[in-house]
Amino acid sequence: MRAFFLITRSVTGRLLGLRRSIGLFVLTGSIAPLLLVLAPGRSSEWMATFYNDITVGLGFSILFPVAALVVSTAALGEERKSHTLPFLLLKPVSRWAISLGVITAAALASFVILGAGVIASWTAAAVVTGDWSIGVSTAVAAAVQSVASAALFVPLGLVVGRAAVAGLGYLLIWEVTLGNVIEGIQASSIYRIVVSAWADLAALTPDNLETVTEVLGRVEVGVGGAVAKAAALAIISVIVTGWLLKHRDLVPE
Amino acid sequence: MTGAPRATDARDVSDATVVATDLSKWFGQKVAVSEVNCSFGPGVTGLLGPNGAGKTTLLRVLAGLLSPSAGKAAILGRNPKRHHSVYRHVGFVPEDEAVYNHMSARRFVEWSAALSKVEDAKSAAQRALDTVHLGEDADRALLGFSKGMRQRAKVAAALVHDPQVLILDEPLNGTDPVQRARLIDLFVQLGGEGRTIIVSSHVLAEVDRMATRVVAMVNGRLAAAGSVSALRDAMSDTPRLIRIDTDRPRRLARRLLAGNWVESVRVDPAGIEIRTSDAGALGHDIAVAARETDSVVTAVSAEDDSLESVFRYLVEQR
Repeated sequence: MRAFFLITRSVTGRLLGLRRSIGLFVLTGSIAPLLLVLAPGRSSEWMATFYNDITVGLGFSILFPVAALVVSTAALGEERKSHTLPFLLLKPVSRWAISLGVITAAALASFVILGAGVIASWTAAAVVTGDWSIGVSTAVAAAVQSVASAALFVPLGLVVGRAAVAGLGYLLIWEVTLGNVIEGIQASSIYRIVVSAWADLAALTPDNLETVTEVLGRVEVGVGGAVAKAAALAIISVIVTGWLLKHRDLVPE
Repeated sequence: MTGAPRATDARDVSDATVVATDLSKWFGQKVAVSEVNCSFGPGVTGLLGPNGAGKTTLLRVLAGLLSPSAGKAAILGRNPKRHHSVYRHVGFVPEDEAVYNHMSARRFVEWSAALSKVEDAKSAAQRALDTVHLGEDADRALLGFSKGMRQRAKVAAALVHDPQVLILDEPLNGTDPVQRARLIDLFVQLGGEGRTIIVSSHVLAEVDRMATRVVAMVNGRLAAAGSVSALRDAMSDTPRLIRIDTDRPRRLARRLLAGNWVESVRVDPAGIEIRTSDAGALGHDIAVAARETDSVVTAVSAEDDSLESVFRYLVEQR
């Protein structure tokens, strides 16, 4: 347990380096200035609808997953590239503890960075709509996004050299493009898992409902189901990452 | 008959703590380590070889960072890839310069101590940092450290849990002469305490100063293992250069030339340099010849007993 906390703390600290945090906050927080720029002369209902639409259409589809992807692939990928993995691996610590610690750290760091963006857009949306509860659903969805992305992209960073590029390809091709046309893969789509959690808690206007239905396809709305799926992904990821740490060659020739 | 020493390690395995058995490692078509059998026990062992000889790969396999493609690696009787508890007794300094730049030296070493299950990680870290003379800079970020300071921080992190086995891959890289001398003294001291210290290097003079035993690799294969002098003796058919300081060099040289083990002689006013194919026989004959020629022999020394000559020879044989 001590090893788990030590690893989680040190990896989280590394992932939340100043340059990366600022850069990704610029990305995840970019919805806030848009809201403030568009607000003058528009009704609070219009702004609430716009906030929800842009959160689903831009935040959950691109901004948040990209930020979480960058953080999560760096969790072990950076260690591999910078040749610091021996410091972590040559310790009397089970590979499962290392795997769990690193994935937890990636989820925590992702949530801090997404959370900063969510708070910025939440504050801006609350100011222009007068509804201070408007961002709760986005914050919960960001937590689901953080866990699911860490589960998927931490092992990817361990085994693929350009994991961020590969992950971006996955997001754009699998999640955004194929997910829209092939119903069978929608249930496993992180984007749709996140939106299903968000939609369960958000106050949706009829326009928003139309957007959400279009995005989710066959996926049911429900925060419980989304949390369960993210947790299942995380458990599978801990097992896969632990296995990789135990059996693969993790330093270059 | 070839002059190369047998490519096996004759160490008595009863005290071996690190053992490679028929160990091979290849990456695709490239064979990095081929059928290596060797063992390491208490004391400092130098792992020698030119760049690309397979030293780093061998150390990484022994440490459990890489899986062997064939054969076995064991530390304290266990496969480190499977039994991670063995790392409680193992310290490893990787060749790469990288460290955790976001940490201070103290935090890095404390973190290593805590992960190695050291009870009082703070005190242990302070001791380790003092041992490598980083106590005063311990709270500075590793990012701002020179290469030599980073090396010492890595050594401190490897030492902090008081390991029985230390695997050091080019640990003196980037260190200045003073730091190098201190680290060499430290490794000699740790080896003297009965720990197994494996130090890889391609700088022969360094290994010559700290190792009592060498394992030499060339082209991924074990070229030789043993003490420097034993290795030199194993090259029995290679002429050795012996210098004899005497007051009557010409008379003594003429007498020694009668022995059929002398290949060539060079005489100077202070003595003789003899190239011989049988140093043992020559050694016996020197005393007899000195008596017969009424010469006073003040010194006899092997001119080519350095690691450099041993190593050059091994590389040429391969």
